[in-house]
Amino acid sequence: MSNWFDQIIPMVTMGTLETLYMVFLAVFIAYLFGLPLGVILLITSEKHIKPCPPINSILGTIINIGRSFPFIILLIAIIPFTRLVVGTFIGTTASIVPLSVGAIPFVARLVETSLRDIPWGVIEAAQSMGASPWQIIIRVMLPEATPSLVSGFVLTTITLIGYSAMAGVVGGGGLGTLAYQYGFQRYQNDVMVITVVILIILVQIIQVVGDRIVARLSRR
Amino acid sequence: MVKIENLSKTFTTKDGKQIQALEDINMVIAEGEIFGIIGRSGAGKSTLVRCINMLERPTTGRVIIDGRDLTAYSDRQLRRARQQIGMIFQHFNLFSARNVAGNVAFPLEIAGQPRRVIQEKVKRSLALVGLSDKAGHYPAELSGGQKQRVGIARALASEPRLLLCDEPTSALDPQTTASILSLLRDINKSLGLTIIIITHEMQVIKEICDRVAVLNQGRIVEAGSVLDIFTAPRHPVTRELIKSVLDPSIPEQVLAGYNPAGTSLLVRLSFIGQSAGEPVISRMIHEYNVQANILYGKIDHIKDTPFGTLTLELSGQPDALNAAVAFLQGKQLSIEVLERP
Ligand SMILES: Nc1ncnc2c1ncn2[C@@H]1O[C@H](COP(=O)(O)OP(=O)(O)OP(=O)(O)O)[C@@H](O)[C@H]1O
Ligand SMILES: [Mg+2]
Repeated sequence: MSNWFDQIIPMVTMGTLETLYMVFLAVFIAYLFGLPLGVILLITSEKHIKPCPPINSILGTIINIGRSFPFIILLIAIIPFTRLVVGTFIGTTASIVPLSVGAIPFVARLVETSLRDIPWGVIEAAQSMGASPWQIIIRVMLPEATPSLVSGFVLTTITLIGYSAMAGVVGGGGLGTLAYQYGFQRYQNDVMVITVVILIILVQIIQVVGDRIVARLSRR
Repeated sequence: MVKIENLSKTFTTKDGKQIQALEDINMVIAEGEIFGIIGRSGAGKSTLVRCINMLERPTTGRVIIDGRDLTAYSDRQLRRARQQIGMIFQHFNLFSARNVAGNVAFPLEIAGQPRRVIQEKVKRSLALVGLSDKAGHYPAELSGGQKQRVGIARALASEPRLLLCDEPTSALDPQTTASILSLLRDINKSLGLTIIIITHEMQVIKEICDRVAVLNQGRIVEAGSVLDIFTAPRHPVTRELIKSVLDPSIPEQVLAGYNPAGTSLLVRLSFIGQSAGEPVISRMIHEYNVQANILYGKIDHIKDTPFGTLTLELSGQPDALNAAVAFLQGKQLSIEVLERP
């Protein structure tokens, strides 16, 4: 029994840390690109603060294509690019590439939707006081949408935890790899169960903490 | 202060239809006055104020503020100009993520004022609207009237000389409306601020405006001093709007007791300001040999001026009646011969 513990606990701990590392870095990168893209997508739309139909429709189309790409296909299709960036396509660091690339369009749409919900009158009030588009984005749109943006952030994180498990199946590391290698290939059901339970707990914690933060930020 | 020349605005809808929201608007608004623009829903009122600070670019025409033609301005110049024009809204449009002080600070922040100056001006602005004790509250914690006060404080923080108000009281109850209007009137007096106020309620015009323009289907159908418009409305839309506040019709009960015998006329006299120096009615009775029966009288206020109406039944010979009416018309009175009920 103690042997079982000695074997499983370090393995599962390692897997959890790898998953967290992958997911948080991927979410970070996804927002690094997705947030500005979401903002651009919104402000270039018709009658917004910087209308620009060509940019808007090109960006919109790219994002839609990105979003309709099944993740499992992206995972494989992107291998050459992953190799180029990371040097390999196996392991946790390599998984961050498909995870972030897959999440960017998702994040862009979420951000756009959050920002679009701000009452137009509020943006107009800022314009009437002489605010520039940049000032409106930084000082009005992002702060006004913060609770909704945080909700989106939580949703993205949870979605990526699921995706990371998928990446794990193709050698991406983390809890996914663990569940696949031990639980599926070697019929160690206990490992499979433990990883699933940990995933459930992770999702639960992130959701509950996220909801708390959103509630605290909400001023409407 | 504000001069609008041949302004028109045409919207093109998605399906390519053209909507002419404003047509050839001309008006001049003097420094320090409270100018009202009234009209029914869809008349183009909001479009018109939004053209004044270029939130909406006019299709043709010019908007000149302090001698500067805003329609010729670039976006950057326009932003600078807007810092000198305050605006308040029907639905307040406060920033929900900023507290009261943060809202009022906004125009100063974007103008790049130093923090100390901002604090000072926010304090002053909040004191002006009587909300110093609410500085740390968030908009969601305020009543409608308080929100509009914050809106006013925010609009005034950068010390503009012109304040645009788009239906500032339409979302408020009558009592709160009265307090917001009296606040606007106070700041107009104490700061010498020019105010343009859009409304569909004649009550608002009557309470605080010096002059008014009546907008109907994108055109100004009538404009002038509020007293003139109220005492001698010419356009049917104006009459309709006035009716809601100064109902000139005679109450049912009075008419029920009105039983014309022989030749008689129903006339309504309107008088403005201090009562005329001479006893007009008793002179008329004496000199023209007519009887006057007072049916109904009412005194009201237009801004600070008392305004009264008196409905009389005049009876006598037809010639005498005509002469009496002519006599009344010669006096500084506005007289209207009413239809017989
Ligand atoms: N952005 C727009 N696109 C198309 N048509 C518009 C637009 N804004 C206003 N209009 C049209 O212009 C006309 C005038 O609208 P406006 O909002 O100025 O009226 P209003 O007098 O302020 O009415 P209300 O009292 O209901 O606010 C309306 O027929 C409206 O449908
Ligand atoms: Mg309107």
